[in-house]
Amino acid sequence: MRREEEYTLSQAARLLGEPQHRLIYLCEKGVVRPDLRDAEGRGSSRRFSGRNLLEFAVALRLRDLEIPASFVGAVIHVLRVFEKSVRKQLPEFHLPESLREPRAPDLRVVIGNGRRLYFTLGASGSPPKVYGDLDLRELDASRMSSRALERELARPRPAARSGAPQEFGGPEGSRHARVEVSITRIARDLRLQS
Amino acid sequence: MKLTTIKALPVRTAQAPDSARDPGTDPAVASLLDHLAEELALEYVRLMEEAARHHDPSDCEPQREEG
Repeated sequence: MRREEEYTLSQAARLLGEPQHRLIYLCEKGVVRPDLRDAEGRGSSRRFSGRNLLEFAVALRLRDLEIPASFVGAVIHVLRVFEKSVRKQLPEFHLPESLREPRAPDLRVVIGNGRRLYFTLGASGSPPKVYGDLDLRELDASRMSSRALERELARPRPAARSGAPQEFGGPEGSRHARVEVSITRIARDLRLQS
Repeated sequence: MKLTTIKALPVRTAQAPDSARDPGTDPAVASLLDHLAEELALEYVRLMEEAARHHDPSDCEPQREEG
């Protein structure tokens, strides 16, 4: 039976090597939602799971790159639903532990040309497949009406494609700029309670 | 010489725009992201099953001795 680790804010901050206020900011923005207990006024304290630690670590790396908190929230949302979906078929799958296994595929988040969100997934030694291609600016409430968003939802998306080697841009084909963060590598490097 | 103390003002840094829809509160955005996550999950399971097949010791044939 898997035992759920529990971390206080100060323990999480120490393990991540970050000041507590950065973690509080991510909680207050709704990017990371404490799995075990949320703060409920004065005197109460948050309790985090190991998955929350991975979420913090990924979110902090993206925030280091000046990615807006709401976009980071979208990435963390995908990560949570991804875990639930995998667990329907592989009940032993848990974040971050399962990504730390040597055979775990490499899951990465890519922001291409400053505005398009992709995920890539691949086993070592084979080209990754690319998923997503969501326009982050089009998800901006100030720029897109609900109707436009419905059109975006209805738009047929290209099937996941394998990335071919390119001069620049990675498998998703960014032309000018790209940000890439390996969620698998962050999970492997994460310090957890022993 | 008289020294005067100037109170330092907090440094303002440029903030990235942060007005995108919150997937936690916007069902349409959440639906879009959920679909993406489910596609990723399917591929992840496929890759893990493939890796398990390649590493299953029962699949390995015993090495034959030469000669």
